[in-house]
Amino acid sequence: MLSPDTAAWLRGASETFTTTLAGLAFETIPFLLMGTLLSATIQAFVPDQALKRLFPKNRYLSILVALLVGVFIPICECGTVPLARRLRQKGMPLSTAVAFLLAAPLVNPMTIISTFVAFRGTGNPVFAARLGLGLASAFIVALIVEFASRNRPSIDILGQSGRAAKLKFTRAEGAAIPAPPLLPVSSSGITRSRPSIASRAAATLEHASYDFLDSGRYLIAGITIAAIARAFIPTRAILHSLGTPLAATGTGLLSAYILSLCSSADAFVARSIFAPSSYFAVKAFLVFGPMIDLKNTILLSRFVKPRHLIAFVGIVALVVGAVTLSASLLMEAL
Amino acid sequence: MTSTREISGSRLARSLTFLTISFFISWLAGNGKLAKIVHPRMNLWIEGAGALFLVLAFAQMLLLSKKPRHSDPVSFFVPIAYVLAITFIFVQSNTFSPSRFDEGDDSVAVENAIFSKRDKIAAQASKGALPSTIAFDDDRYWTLYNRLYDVPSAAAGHQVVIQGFFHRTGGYPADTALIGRNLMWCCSADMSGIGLVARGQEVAGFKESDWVEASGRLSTIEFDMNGDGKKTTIPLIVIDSLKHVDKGATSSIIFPF
Repeated sequence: MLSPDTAAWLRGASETFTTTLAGLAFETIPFLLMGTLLSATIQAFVPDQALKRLFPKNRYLSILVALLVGVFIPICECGTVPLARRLRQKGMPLSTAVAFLLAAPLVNPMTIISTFVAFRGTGNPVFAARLGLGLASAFIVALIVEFASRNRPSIDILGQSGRAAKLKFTRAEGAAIPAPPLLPVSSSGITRSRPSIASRAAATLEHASYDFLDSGRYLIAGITIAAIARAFIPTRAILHSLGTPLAATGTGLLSAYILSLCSSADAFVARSIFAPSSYFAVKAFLVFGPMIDLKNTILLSRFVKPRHLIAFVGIVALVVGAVTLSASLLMEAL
Repeated sequence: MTSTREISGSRLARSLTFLTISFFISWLAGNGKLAKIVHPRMNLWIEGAGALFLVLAFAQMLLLSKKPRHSDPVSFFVPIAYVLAITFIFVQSNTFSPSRFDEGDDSVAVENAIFSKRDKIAAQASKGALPSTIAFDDDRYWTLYNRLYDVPSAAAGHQVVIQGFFHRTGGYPADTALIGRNLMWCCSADMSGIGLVARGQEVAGFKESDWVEASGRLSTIEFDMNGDGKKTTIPLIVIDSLKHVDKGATSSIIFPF
């Protein structure tokens, strides 16, 4: 028999699990669906060349443009994964797609407004810091990816190589209606008429259905792990060490990763659990969370080799930690 | 030889899955249970997603006789069923989420920044002029909560009436409980309980998550809210009356903005 204390603890943990799982699922699934629909729409309706014209040929300028594209695609971090993968499949450089993946949730207007509202009246320009430090971190990570992958095409954290290459076969074969070619050319070289809007729409729905179910199971696995972590790791255990700037920054990074909150609302949680004790933790939490968290790591694991994924998460954490810590120390010194 | 008119099992499964999700969202929205999971400002997104799932379901139905070259694995569908089942259990239960994030003194500092202008004016107007009986209704719950925790002694001696979940942890004295509601910023994953500590012999007759109404006189107490040995001064209700009440249409959740 369980003691009353153990039974009460287990009851609390199971309630926390169901509460967290339901919330995270209904917060993320609509965005995953929108991400997969947008991704499928791009596949069916936007020619590769048209997409390439959107981005400068210069890799560094292309990264800068990718950092800001998310302003026009206001979806959260769950929806950006299929979109970033689609950009990559359409021939965009890996560094450009990574810049979009990391920055889009941060430049999302909903994220900016909610951060502004949450920290209004504190005298601390957290929303500006989040935007500036987030874009700087995403730019640095994209540069690292650009240099690391330039001579090593096997490094692809958006899944164009290795395990993902095998999956491409399944994906293409799994669709009854393959995406219609956008610049259709017959074997004789004579350009055929464009596929009809209806056939493209059908292909969009087909791809979106398949992609949603395929990615959804990984997202749900990520949400489940995040909910278990939330239920069994007491928040106060994470928050115990806010003593030094370095510890506070680490705490912010770890909390953001485990809690896996939506970037459109995490500012309120950061305000409630960290501020005003530690703005070091606040900045690390708010910049790192939208870029990569536990649920998105599991989602990416569908496509990426484990060692590449671990290295990617580690690099993002290190860059965000270094950027936010340096900026916070500088602001304190001034 | 396979007939082209044969129904594809994968397509049927996809169609039924999308239909189930769509109907589940409609059910949640129709009976107000969606507000237990996500903030009302998210409703448009969720209901829009429900409509899109319906479109996807019909698209799969139209293609029912066109078999995909590879069947979808069962792992495509089981996770969806599992999430819907857990969500169903959650919305049907009476869950209070005490202290999920409310882990330290700083949580009390989450205050005026998120007030609407109207709330601010009302809060300022009521400074120093709290009514003799303070009723914690939905519109003022968050404002009053902050006001009382900011200056616990400000309302000492006033009568108070509050409805909410009954909550006691092992660390609470035998005559003490928390009467509270859930506070939600965005979704139930960030939900945490907020409320007032109440003291009186009456608490013995109640169990966790009962929906109750407490009335009494406000005072203050040095209390270890988190069971970590740190005591802080907080408001206290000295109970005159504690009773079960019909929850009715009262929301168990407070949405601060």
